[in-house]
Amino acid sequence: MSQDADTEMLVEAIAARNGLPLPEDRKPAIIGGFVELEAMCARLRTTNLTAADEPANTYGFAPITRIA
Amino acid sequence: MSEHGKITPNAPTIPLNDLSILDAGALLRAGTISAKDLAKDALARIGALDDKLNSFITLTTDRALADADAADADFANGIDKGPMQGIPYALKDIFNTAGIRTTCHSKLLQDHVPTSDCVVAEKLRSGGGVLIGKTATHEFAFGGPSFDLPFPPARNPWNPDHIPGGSSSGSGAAVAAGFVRMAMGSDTGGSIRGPAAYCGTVGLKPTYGLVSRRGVFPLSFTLDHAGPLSRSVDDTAATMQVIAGYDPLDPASADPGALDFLGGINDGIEGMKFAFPRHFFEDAEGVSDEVVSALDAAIVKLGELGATVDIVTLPDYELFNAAGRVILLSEAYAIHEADMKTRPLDYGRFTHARMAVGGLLSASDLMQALRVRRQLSISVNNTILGKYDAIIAASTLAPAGRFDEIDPETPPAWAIQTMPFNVTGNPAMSIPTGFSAQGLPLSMQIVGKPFADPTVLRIGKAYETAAGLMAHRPNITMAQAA
Repeated sequence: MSQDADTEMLVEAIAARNGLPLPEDRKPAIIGGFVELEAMCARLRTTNLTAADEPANTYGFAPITRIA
Repeated sequence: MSEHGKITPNAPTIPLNDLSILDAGALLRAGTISAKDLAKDALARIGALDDKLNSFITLTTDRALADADAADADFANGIDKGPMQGIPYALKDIFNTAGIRTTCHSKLLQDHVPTSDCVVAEKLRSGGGVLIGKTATHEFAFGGPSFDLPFPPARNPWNPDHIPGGSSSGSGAAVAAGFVRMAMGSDTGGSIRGPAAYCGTVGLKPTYGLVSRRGVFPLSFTLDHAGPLSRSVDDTAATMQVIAGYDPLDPASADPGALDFLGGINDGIEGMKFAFPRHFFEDAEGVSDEVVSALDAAIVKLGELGATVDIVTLPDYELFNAAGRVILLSEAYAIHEADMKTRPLDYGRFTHARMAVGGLLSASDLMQALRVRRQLSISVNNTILGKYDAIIAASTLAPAGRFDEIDPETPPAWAIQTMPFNVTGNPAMSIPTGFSAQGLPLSMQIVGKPFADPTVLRIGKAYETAAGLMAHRPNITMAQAA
């Protein structure tokens, strides 16, 4: 099976698992976007993060509890 | 006031739409012109010219005239509500306006009429501003430019065959065309600075949390910023004076204390130190020689004004972009998930294709992006802005592209380098640096320390004054005939 076919199957599987319909005529653009995004996700994993490196939006009590 | 929208006899003969916010304010306070004059002039110009630019989705004519009457009455009674009193402005059509439809340029919200104003609209209203209308956007500030939506895409006043940038496309076009001096936009990855750059206006993405986002339809909670596109740095500062401020009901709102955006704006940049990450753009895909030349010339100009500029190295641009894209797509999909599952075909083709990809990311992808984001913010703010007053960078890497270059099947990707400062939240302003051989605007970004937005404006004002570019205006009549 070609890499393109593998990617298409992967996108279809993730979308099905997440309940996301993929209209047939829009699928090529979505697959193209997915390939670009996969490369971005891989790049994020090239950094030397340690276990202690917390995310930018680490829970902050005061702002989180503001309500309208 | 005389006929034909010219001021006489107590002021130079300047078209009303060419008056800066501050100059118009002075004339309004002197009684030389009225807010109603300004509003009628803006509405007449839009009525005559916007059919080729599509910058407005909704004109709020009755509201504008009522706002103008109220502003004039306040002037007559000696009531001064600040620099936007009596000034025509527009809002991107994702800013909620009570009783006025707010469509997000989408079929999904085509008939949506909010019951309350967003905070920015509320501040501009109580500051005496005159709402002229709601401007075109890319769908939900994300897709586009698209031709499969309920409203046509805005076009670039410098040449309507070219895009105005997005997603605050109508705001950029409306300001560049001289319809309003200021139009609000939102910026999640460059949606204020991109249109500002392509349309030759000033566009400020304020520090994250400085301007309330409450009541602005979200695209990505942790990357969204509301800010002005305007004709000049002074116009931008005047707007910020009104719209900035702590909002306890916006979870991201910050309270840095009262900032004075106009006070030190003319103080110059003698002795300031700027960082210039030339590597960001010089080898980037799609960069134009004209953009690079204009940036290098701007650096020389900043030096002539008394600043020192050092070439510095920032983390890889693509790392900023990756973190920003993964966060944006994850958050946007979360907001739209229910509609993406139940009515996907109601979204425009480009919006849907972009948004759907967010539904394919994992939780781990998002968390890695957020962890990298913190590292990048530390790098920009501690390492670079710990030593420098500002970063000078490219905004767009090429002049505005053409509509006929867009592949109808694939969402377009324009060469633009604005995302890094959505990721870090720093204030970033796009300002014109010149024109391409084809007569399209070129630009640069000025990036400041958090809540040093007044410093960014001060730098921009010094450069703008020295560069002398703001007198250039698109020839709308000629553009129409093209």
